[in-house]
Amino acid sequence: MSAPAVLSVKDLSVSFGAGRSETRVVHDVSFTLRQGQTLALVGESGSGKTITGKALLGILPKGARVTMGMAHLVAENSVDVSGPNEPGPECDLLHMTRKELRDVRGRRVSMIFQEPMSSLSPLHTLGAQVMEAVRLHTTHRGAEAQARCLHMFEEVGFPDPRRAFNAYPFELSGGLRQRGMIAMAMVCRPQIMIADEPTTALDVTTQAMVLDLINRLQAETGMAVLMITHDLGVVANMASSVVVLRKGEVVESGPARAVIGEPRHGYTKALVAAAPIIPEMVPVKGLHDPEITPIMRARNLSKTYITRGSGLSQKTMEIQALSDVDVTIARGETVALVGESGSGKSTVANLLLRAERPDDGAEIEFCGRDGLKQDIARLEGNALKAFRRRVQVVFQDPFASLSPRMPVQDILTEPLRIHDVGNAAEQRDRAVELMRRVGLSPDHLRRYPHAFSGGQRQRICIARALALKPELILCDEPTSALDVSVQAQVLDLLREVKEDYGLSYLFISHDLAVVAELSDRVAVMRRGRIVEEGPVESLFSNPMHPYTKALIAASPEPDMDRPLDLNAVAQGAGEPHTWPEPFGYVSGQAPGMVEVDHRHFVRRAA
Amino acid sequence: MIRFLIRRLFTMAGTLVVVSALVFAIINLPPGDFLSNQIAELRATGQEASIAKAEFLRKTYALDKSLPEQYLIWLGVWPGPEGFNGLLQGEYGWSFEFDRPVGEVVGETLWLTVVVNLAAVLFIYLTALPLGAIAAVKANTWIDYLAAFIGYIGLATPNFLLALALLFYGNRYLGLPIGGLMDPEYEGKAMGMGKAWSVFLHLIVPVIVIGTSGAAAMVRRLRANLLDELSKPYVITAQAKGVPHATRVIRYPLRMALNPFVADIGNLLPSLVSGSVLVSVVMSLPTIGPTLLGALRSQDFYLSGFILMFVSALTLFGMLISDILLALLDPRIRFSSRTRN
Repeated sequence: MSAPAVLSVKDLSVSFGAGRSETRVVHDVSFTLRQGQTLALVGESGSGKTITGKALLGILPKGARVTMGMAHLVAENSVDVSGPNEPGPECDLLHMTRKELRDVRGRRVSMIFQEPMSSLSPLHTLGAQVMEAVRLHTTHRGAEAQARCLHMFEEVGFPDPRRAFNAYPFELSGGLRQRGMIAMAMVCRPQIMIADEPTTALDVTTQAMVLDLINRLQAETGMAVLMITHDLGVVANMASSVVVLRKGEVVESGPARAVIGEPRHGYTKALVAAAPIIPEMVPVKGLHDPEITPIMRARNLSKTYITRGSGLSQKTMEIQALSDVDVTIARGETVALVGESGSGKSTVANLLLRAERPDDGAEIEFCGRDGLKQDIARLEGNALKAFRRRVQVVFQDPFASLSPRMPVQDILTEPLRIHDVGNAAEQRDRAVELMRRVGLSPDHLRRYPHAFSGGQRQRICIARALALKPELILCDEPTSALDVSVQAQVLDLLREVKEDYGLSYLFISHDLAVVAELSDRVAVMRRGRIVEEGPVESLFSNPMHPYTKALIAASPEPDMDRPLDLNAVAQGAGEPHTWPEPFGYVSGQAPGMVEVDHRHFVRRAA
Repeated sequence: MIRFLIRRLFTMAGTLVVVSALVFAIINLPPGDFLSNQIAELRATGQEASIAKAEFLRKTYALDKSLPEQYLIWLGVWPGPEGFNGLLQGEYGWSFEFDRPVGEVVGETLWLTVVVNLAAVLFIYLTALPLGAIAAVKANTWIDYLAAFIGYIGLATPNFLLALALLFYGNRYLGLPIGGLMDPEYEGKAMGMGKAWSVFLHLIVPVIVIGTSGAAAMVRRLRANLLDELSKPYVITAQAKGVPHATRVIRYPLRMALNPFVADIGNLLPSLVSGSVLVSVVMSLPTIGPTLLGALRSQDFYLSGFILMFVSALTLFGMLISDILLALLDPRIRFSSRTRN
């Protein structure tokens, strides 16, 4: 802990507005950032953690201003040969002229953001954007500057630095884009890097590798990192000290081990308790009786998208989004589809809903309460409309999936109106009942969605899905846009209504912890195929497939003694042909599914 | 890029063919044609000699044939009384009203129209770009309000009123010439320094008049686009990198906001041509607008048909230019074909 301080922030306060309409969003925040160490600024949305980070660089959004405090940055102890003549002096970041501040930004203190796609200009190549930082802050020009960029790209782990240099951000994957951002932030060897939720938008395996990269670069250069995050798992893996923020105030701070291991403040305790953990042993849940008639059974689901190339030749290309996926959901069961972006899990959902048609050869059998079996893949007209009543969806983003121009009552009664259920009075009664069921006050039926918080909106979405008394609900990442404390409540609600209404769930998620908590059976998907499938207790206690192992190893947990296992991640997170024997795909051919335990299947050579 | 261009040129040609059919159909919608009207009139007054000439013209221009045939002959893909002789061969037909070939009637006005409108487009872009950018960056300050105020005046004032006012004050205080597009002494002369200067002086007022409302609309649009972009994360990234303010705005959000701005070129041209008719009449500009109006009224269909075709071609050309510029400006558009292949 005795590393020299690099940045001391004292009594930082930030307000929006002025005069009577002034609202303070950050109150008297103080912390010290030490050389070569990472300090985590933890809090949920609205805690003021991002504003604090932005205040240090003087890039507050319009209307916000620093009202008090100081941020003391120590002098640079050495100077880069290419840099300005003198090392940067000791200074107070909160009281500088614009010109002095510009000199600090990007050279002595740099920042990376959550969404690497929107944080990079889509009109400039990655190289051009990194070169700009070099040109602004060093004397390097032309070939020299380019060499410096390429060297940086190599350090942040681009497989082909030269290609990355000439690539536009939209040509790169999310992980590579964030590496590009890090290269841009690091290229001038800053004293401090502020990382604002740098991995929140990334897949878990990518997150693990990017976190590792930040750790490695920090060890090499000795820079201090201010890590702004909501994820205690990330904190446990990265930080040596923690500051917990709530509504702009510091509620607890100290060494990471102490704060996470033995939280003192009630809020921190709640945060730690709510943090999702992948249990090593999951209690046996359902009976998994194969005799129960499945409510939904899909076989040989494949989906090929055809993209038409432009140009005179009009060459077409086929993209296989899904290959031979079988899904069975027993009545009353919760089946989870787990996978990272591009794994095809949402495509499965779209096919089961008949939002899209599967390729020929697929069979989707739905067996409702009435015992009638229907082939969903071939339903048309009224039969299809009737089917839609029985299967509903809860989407990921409760902000985008509710019309901002409809009061809640209209949102809840719209499905009833579409399917002609009851008269106006009955529909209203149903809306009141639904609001009560999801734990909201029926008095708020006249309000519009913007008056509700994210968690409350997701409750409204669940109420809407329940309106038609469906038998099966597809939950597409229903909690990933929510704060952890709210996430737990929404999961509880989902569990309750399942009991009440005798529902079955297909639960789509990238978050293994959430899946472990809610589901009975899990299917892990990668590149359009299921690679491992089994009862939740068997899958988590005895994962067999390298990709499943990688997913579990990559999920950060709020436990200082369980660091990310990067070897496992590296082994399983690659493309299918890089998986070790007997799991790898040989010349593009996937091996079949083998039963390794009771109803636990793994894709591997027999 | 080359393939993109070739493809665009092909679709352009196809569009022109469709447009030509539409133009021909529309001109022929009203019953009768110039010659039959004239023949009826001559019959009534008993001028047999002229009737003979009219009948001769009727034969020469195949007006006695069926409409589809007339159309194909007009295009030049079907042999008429004088063999293949239509638009494709550069023969624009005969203006019955002026009793001269269309090419001669239109003559210089065609190129003056292009000059006036290009100058107006240039004026619109040169004023709208800085004004719009400043209005967005200094949103809700007095500069923004001033730009909005001037813009609303430009949008709300009738063009011809503005024309009259500007002509009067321009002449009185700056000695700018009134009416026409050049001094009378240069009319019909070959292009030279003197003539060019004279045209330039005469252009000032019409260009301002024609361009003001377009520029005002463009300023509002650019301001709105740029305001959206200014708070995007990539601008904050640039700020966090230490990029100075002006460079930051110009290099990042302004370039993003330019897309709709550039895409407007194609739409701008036809609205300028048709919108400037009234102004041309008021300011007695020898542009194509008034001629078109007269030709449509008297059913002088070779003349009106040719002018309509010319305006359509101009529009398509504008679209082509804006497409090329878009592809150059925005790699996402440029690459969208490549990544799909």
